[in-house]
Amino acid sequence: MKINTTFEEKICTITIEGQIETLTAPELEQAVNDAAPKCEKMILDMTDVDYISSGGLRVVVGANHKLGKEKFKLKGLAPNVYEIFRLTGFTKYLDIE
Amino acid sequence: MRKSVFFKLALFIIPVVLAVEIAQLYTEYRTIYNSNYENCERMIKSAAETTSDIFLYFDLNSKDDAETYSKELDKLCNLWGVTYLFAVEPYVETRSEKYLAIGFGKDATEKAKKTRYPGVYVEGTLSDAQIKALKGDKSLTIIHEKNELDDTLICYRVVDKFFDTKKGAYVKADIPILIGAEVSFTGVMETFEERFNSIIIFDLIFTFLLTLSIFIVFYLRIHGPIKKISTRMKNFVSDRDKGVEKLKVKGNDELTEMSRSFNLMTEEIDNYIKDIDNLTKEKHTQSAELNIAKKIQTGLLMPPRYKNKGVSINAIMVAAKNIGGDLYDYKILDDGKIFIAIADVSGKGISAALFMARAITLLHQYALLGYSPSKMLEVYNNTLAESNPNGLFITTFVAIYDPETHKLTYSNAGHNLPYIISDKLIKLDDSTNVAAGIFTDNEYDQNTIILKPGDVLFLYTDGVNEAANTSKEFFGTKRLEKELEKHINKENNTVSEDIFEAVSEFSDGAVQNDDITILTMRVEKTNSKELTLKAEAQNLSEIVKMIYSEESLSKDIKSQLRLIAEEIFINICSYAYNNSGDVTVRLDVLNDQATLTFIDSGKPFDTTADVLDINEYDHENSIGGLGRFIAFEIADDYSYVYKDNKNILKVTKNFI
Repeated sequence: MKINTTFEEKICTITIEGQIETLTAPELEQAVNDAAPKCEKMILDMTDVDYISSGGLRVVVGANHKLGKEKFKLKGLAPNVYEIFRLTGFTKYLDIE
Repeated sequence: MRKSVFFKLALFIIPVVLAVEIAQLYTEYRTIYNSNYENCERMIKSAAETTSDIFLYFDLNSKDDAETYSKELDKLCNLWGVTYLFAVEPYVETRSEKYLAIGFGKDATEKAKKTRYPGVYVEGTLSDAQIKALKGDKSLTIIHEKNELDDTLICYRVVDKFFDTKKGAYVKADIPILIGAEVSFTGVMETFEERFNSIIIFDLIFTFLLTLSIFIVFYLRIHGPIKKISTRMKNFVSDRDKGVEKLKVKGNDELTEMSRSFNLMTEEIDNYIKDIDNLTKEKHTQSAELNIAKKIQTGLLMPPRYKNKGVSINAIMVAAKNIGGDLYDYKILDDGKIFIAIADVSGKGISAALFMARAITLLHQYALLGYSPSKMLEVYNNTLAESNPNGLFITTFVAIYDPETHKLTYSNAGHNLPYIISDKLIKLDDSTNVAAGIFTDNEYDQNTIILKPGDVLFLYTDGVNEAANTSKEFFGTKRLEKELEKHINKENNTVSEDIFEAVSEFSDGAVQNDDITILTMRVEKTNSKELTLKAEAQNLSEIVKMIYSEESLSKDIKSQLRLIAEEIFINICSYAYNNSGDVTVRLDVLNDQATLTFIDSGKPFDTTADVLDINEYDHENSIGGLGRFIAFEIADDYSYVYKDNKNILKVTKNFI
């Protein structure tokens, strides 16, 4: 998993590439926590994510909880990844582009 | 009418009748002609004789006599019906004649009256006949002269003496007088022919009309009834439903007899048809009942296809025309073992079918009771033999297959030896025991063989190898084995269908005499991978590697299996052990199904119990259980057992 964070007028975009699983989720959590104080809005670009497990979900949901739905956005979900969000009912609480 | 036999008969008979009629008329004509001829002859003879008698007293030189005699001759002509009566003085040398007196009858021509009169001298008219008469004896000479104009009969008589009144005696004359009596036969016949012609016409018309009317009467009296009978015959079948109307029987002629016979025949045919109808109905009922029986029998059988993780079972049973006594059976037992059986009752028909019903019920029951194959056959044999009044017997093969150990345990009661299609064709060789149902207290041997994944156990009844073609050849074991060998190392399990097809092709429409039953059980190939590792999260990548190394899986399935494996493995790592312990993860891929098995020896915990209810999930404060929820949500099936101090969780994912 690769993580790249960019800032643009207080909107930070975290681009993730690879698989978000139990072992890699803490990295993402770290990146989110690092960026959160510096940005008014956070976008998670998951265009290149082809796998997510419950560990990853927890990080995403946790970030959403911390920042609030209006300040947090998911972008570029692959169908199989979106399916996991849908299964768990998180699609209702998240801003998914 | 034209087609009527009477018309044809009339066409034939009318000419015949007319010919007979004409012949008869001709004969009649001849007879009348002859009689007329004779009559005329008699007349002229009498006339000539009378005349000659008169002329004995004739005076040649008296003119008065000539006139008187002529008048007298006129009278005689009318009296005798003669045309001319004359007396001439003949001159033979000059062939002349001198008319002394002449009388005319009613048929005399005007010309004759002018040319022939008393005193006239006619030259050259003296005929040969007259000369011959003169030269001949003095009796009568009759000449029949025929020419185009006339047909005359003349009778000549010579008067060669006369009565000399002076002497008072007959004196020989110097010149004889020739008396002629002539009758125009044409004249006589003309009148007759006129009458006769009208008779002919009348006769012919009468005959024709009579014959025709006879035929018409025949036509009406005979043709009508015959036509009626033939119409009734023609419409007998189509009118039968409306009810057969009897022909009227009146009188005692042949037609009446025919009508009576026809009535009798229709009655008999009607009864016959009714009998056939009843028989057919009865047969229909019987065959309907047989069909029901067949359905009931088929209903006793398990479905022809079954498949689970370990085996796939295919069965074909095609009953012969009559209800038969073959059976096959299988059952997945509680411990996952598979019971299979095939049997064939001796004989056919209802009794065999009932016996079969009993046998299959017993086998099924014994299988459920967990009997071993040999015990099964022993009890089965005794139970059947106890009440078997018809002395039927049943060859039976039973086996129990354990998919865990791949062991096939079997026992045989006189049935055809099954085959195993493996790397080669194997005939299950055992000492066959006697067929079940007759002798009690038999012991049945039990044997075991290990099957490999991909092996096919082939069971069949003798309907297969004894299937005959139209040339009375049997399909035979050799042909069967050859066909079976074609299936060695084949991926698709189509043995039962292919063998049945081969048998059908071989029989080529010949009547199937026996039930054909085939049962195959294939040990399914599984791709298994297994890993045993410490229950630590960093080992997850090993499991992911194992899943991704399974080539038969699609990318999506691998991803879904990975998710399941991760969630369950992490769960085990988190909760199973206080310190540390091992986890075994196994992946079985079978056909269109992948199964992940997780075995740990940690504290007993049913992972499948108390799975999160997503509606009650606290999205604000994420808690545990989400992983398990996702895993089971993705899975198609899962089961948990705690056995031998081990938690065993199986999660199955089907491919689409």
